[in-house]
Amino acid sequence: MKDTEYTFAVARIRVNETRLMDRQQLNAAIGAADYADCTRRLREYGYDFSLGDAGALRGRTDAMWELLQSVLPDPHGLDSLLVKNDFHNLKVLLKALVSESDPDGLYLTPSIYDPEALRPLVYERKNDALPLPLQHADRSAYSILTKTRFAQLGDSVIDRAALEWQIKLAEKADHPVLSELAEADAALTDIKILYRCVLTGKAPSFMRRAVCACKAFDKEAAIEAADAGMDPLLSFLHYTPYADAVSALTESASAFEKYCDDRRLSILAAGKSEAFGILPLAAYYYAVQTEVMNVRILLAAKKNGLPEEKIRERMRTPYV
Amino acid sequence: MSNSLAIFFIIVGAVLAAGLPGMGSARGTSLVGQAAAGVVSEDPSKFGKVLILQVLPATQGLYGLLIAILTLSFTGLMGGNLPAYTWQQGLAFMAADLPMAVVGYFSALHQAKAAAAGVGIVAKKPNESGKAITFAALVETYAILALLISVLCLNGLTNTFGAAA
Repeated sequence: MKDTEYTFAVARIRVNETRLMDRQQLNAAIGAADYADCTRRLREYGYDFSLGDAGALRGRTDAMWELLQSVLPDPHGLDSLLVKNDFHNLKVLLKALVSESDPDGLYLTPSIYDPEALRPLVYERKNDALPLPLQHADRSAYSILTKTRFAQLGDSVIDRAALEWQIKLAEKADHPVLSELAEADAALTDIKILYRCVLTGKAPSFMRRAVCACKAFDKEAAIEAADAGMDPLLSFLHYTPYADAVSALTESASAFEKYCDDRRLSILAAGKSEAFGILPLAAYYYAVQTEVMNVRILLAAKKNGLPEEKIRERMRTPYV
Repeated sequence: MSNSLAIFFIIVGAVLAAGLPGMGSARGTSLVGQAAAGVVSEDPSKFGKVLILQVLPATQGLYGLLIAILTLSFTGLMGGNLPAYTWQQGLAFMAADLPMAVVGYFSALHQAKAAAAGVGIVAKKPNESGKAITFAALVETYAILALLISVLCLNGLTNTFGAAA
């Protein structure tokens, strides 16, 4: 699809970008006296709390996705960004099936496939009827969950499949920034998995099943370093494009999550200066997700009376 | 025969001068129009500012039309009193139309891209619309240069070969 076919969509997104919370508005919300004051300010920025905090956040995401769907010339153009939600939903359904619990309220949206449509297929084990990208992950994870009850491995198998599909879909979209983003997602997830594997003393066989191949570093060399211990793993990372992740990684889990989100958004920041093509739309998708994440953190922090500086530490860099 | 061939070349030149920049302008205004519609659908108050940007790539079509009329007029084809040009002279008139035809087409398309990007500036920072117009208007320079060259060539050829009575 030609980049100029996105002209109308990009123009609409540009107007909507002006409605995103900027740094000044975010700072004002962080500086709110308490939770009530914070929600009052957020209402001014367009959040509707009539259905509670979760409803306000969901409403923001739904409105963003509704807008993108209405302007996208290619309805599958952003699939590489959504695929993670589909695999998350598969994970939720499999866990609900195995633990006989209710998956409602645990789904992530937007997604390529409707989780309610997947539900009977997963529950009735109609694996062949599932969308092709989900079939292998569903089979492997279900087998692991029912035979070994090793939920962490089941999760990892699904997460890896999600990353591999994200890379494939980004390649199909034929946009260098979407490919860079998918590769960064894979590398950052791998780093997180390897770090946790070292902390919990996981075997290399587990790492091999959980880690996704990426262009940033050699998978086997990374597993070998992780198997040797924390220092060899961190030294290994120093020689990869993710050397600056080490300080966040060793600081705390939330610091690393913030680093990952900021890195993703910095890749998509190129969308600010592009007038045509899918990138500004992908960047807007991430920008809203980042804003929603900031608001979620902010609301939880205000409810628990966290001081301002602690909240600021956790805030992701806004897109605008 | 020679005069018929000269007429053919003169007409082809005029058609190219009017046609190519016209096509470029049509495509260009369409592209900027899409961007403008995107902005106006969200914020109708910006209609006036984006309209100026949409008009910019339309000028090449007008320049092309002007060159086509001058060609037909200078050669005498319009008044029906065409001197006895050789086919080489007809070809020279056609060549005189080409700067406007070619540069007009491409400058309209590229100006449209600059203008559509400028619509993004208007969308986010309406007070900076003057800068958006300037960026797009600079592309116009090359259409004006091509117009000038085509006019000078037509004028020179008419003086050299003899004006229509």
